[in-house]
Amino acid sequence: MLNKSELKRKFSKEWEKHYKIDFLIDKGFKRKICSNCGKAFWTLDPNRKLCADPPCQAYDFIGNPPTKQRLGYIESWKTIENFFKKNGHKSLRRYPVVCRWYPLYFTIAGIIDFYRLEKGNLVFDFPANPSIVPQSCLRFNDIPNVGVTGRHYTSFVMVQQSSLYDGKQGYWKEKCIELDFDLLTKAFGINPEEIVFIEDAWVGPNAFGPSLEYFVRGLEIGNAVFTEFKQTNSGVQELEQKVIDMGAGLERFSWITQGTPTSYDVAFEPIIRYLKQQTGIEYDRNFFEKYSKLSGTLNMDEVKNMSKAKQTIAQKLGTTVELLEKRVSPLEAIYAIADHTLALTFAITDGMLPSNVGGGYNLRVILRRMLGFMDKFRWNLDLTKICEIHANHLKPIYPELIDHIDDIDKILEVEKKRYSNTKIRTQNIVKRIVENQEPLNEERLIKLYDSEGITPELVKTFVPDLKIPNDFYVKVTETHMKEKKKLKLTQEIDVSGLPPTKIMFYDEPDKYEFDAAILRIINNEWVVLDKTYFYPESGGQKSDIGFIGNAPVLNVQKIGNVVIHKVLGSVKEGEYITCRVNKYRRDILKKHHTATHIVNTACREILGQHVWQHGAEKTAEKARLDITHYDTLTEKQVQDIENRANQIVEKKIPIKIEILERGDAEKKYGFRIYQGGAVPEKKLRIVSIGNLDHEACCGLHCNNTSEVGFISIFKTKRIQDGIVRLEFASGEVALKQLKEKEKILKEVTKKLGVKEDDVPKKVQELFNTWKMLRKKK
Amino acid sequence: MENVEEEKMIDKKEWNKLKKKQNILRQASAILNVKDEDLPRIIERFQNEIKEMEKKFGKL
Repeated sequence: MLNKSELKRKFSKEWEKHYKIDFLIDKGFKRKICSNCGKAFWTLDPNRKLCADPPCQAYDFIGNPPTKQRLGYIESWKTIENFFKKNGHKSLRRYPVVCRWYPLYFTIAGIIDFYRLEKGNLVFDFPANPSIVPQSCLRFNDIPNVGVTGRHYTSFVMVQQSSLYDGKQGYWKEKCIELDFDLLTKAFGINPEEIVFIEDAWVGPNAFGPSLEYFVRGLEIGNAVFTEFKQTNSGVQELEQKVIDMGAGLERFSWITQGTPTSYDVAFEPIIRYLKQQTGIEYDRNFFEKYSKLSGTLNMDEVKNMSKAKQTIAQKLGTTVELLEKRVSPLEAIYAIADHTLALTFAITDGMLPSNVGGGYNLRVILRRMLGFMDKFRWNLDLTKICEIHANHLKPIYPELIDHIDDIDKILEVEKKRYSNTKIRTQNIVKRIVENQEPLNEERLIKLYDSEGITPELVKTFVPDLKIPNDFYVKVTETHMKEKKKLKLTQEIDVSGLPPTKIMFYDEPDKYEFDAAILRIINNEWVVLDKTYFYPESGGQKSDIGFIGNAPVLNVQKIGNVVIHKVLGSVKEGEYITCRVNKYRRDILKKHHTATHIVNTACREILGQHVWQHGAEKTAEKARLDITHYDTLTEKQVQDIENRANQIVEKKIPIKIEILERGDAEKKYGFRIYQGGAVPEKKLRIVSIGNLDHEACCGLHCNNTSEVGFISIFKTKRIQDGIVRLEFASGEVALKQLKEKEKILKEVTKKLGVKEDDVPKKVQELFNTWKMLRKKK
Repeated sequence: MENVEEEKMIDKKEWNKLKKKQNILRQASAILNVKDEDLPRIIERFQNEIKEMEKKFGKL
């Protein structure tokens, strides 16, 4: 597979095939090569010699926008939406920023909405064709640039224009470029001569293609990717279904019409206004317009010598680096706070919490970066209030954000307390390091952050001379940005050449005895039948046990489409044999599985909408559910969850199971269905408890909630940052446990010689007496 | 499931009684920071040690 620059070279050589768009030719666009950087670009301007990509062109729109109308952030979206709707596109609601349908932590681009896995391969799944979506995205690989460059974000909205093209439906390059050209010229009123298309290429997980980026006065507005090839063992192949994937930052449309010093001024307009009031920082628009034109080039990934770059800017502005920093850094901090609070608002709304693991790690990094700024400038800001202003500002596009402000408030409170505790610890740790004359180098700073949650800004408050690496947050987050663990596709047991096992337990869940043919015995212990009623371990539900002939079945697993049964004892290949599933165990597993869905529902109702299933296991002895929650559960919360779960049990709510196309299931029930993570199937089995809960689930369930029997939560524990575990049992297993407790209590009352109700009091007295006598001793 | 005997299901009232007993036991175990099943043994140990210490102090 060629890398991006090799592809660019290849496409550029074959430019007539990949980039020659008749629509542009008809309009009079000419292909040129930038005399500065060598990139190929298309323009109407006969005098243009340079491409429009900085540094070849400065941000000439700042203070000098190319449009007559000045559009706000929301108005810009409405303009874009109306334009595409008029041109036959369906406007979709945003997908969650927490990516639960594909192995990524976050939705990092609009096209991710339509990524799905099928048998380990990426496929596109579009709910409408063509479509447009204002997709809020989160990215954490640019943190040091956020607030500084005027255009980098951790949270931004990508306008995603998509079309699936197979020769009959959808549209391809010509129409895409015509639409994007018309959007800029007709909907936004930009002079066609201002538009420059630059040739580029895009490489995705297993597809690639050429792309055209479009610029206006130095600002890249969008990138139209034409996904049309895939790499196979026999070489490059054209895709049968090609994809138009045009992504454009929403803030850029608004920015180009307003020409403000930074894009934050338009994307976060009411938030910046509020923060300026709260912090009282001085703001001289003329100065910042001049500064922003120059600071647009301050990309910390690209600028090798940051201090030299800042010195050059300071010289051009006729000031010193120190004075420039003093003037600029508070403003950069409020821009960063505006961005980071929005990222947290979206992430918490969609069920991700700050923590020290997985995607939550990135959220804590930005939260602590904000708190660091507040410490540095001695600002007492109400972060929840800022999130609320965001939610109100974005209400016309994302009305759901405002409903989560209470959750956000609680979570931010807990995190702020944790940060305060860290600050107290920091003082002692840093004091020890300084006393021992240990080096405070980059490696040590990263270790302090990773193991103690101590930010370099906090260290700097005790060690003022400390040099914080510009890319510190890039380094600490890069290991946490990688894709989630890939699905396990290989197994040790070889089932090649075997036909798929006929799965019978879904169609006949109440049949426990059946006859089947033994097709193969693998490694003398794993039996493969032609059909099976044994449920293999999956979806966190332990497998059935029973007998194949007289041989006990100890474990059942599924590899691909083949079910294998681990037996103890002898059976023969080719035998047609009677098999029995242990009904009693199956019943308990079913009850524990339905109970898990019920407890998950109860947790969400009692604790808040931020609760998602993080993991689950259903055994015959107990059920375990791990949920996302920011704090240890109180006794009252546990009691409330148990009471609510048992109310659901008592209501005898029917459990409905339906098989739906993935897109239909997502549309009907939303992304809550992915409680167990991404499902690599085109059709989903949706298990619903009335209108309370809908989950994609392969497990076996009761017919209604009352069949579960009462649920008893017997243990809860905060197992890791942001994750709480609940252990519980239902029906006869719960009853057996409670009767054992009753026996123990009876024994205790006998030993203490008191009534049951007085046991705690008596135990306390006994303990006090023992302690007192021990002291005397 | 060989170790799990079948239990007949009970009504809400009976269930609540059992839950109440479980809570009492949980509170008592929490005071001594022990598992529920260890509580009778630990109480007995405390009772014996108290008796011994009282005896010892009585002699003094």
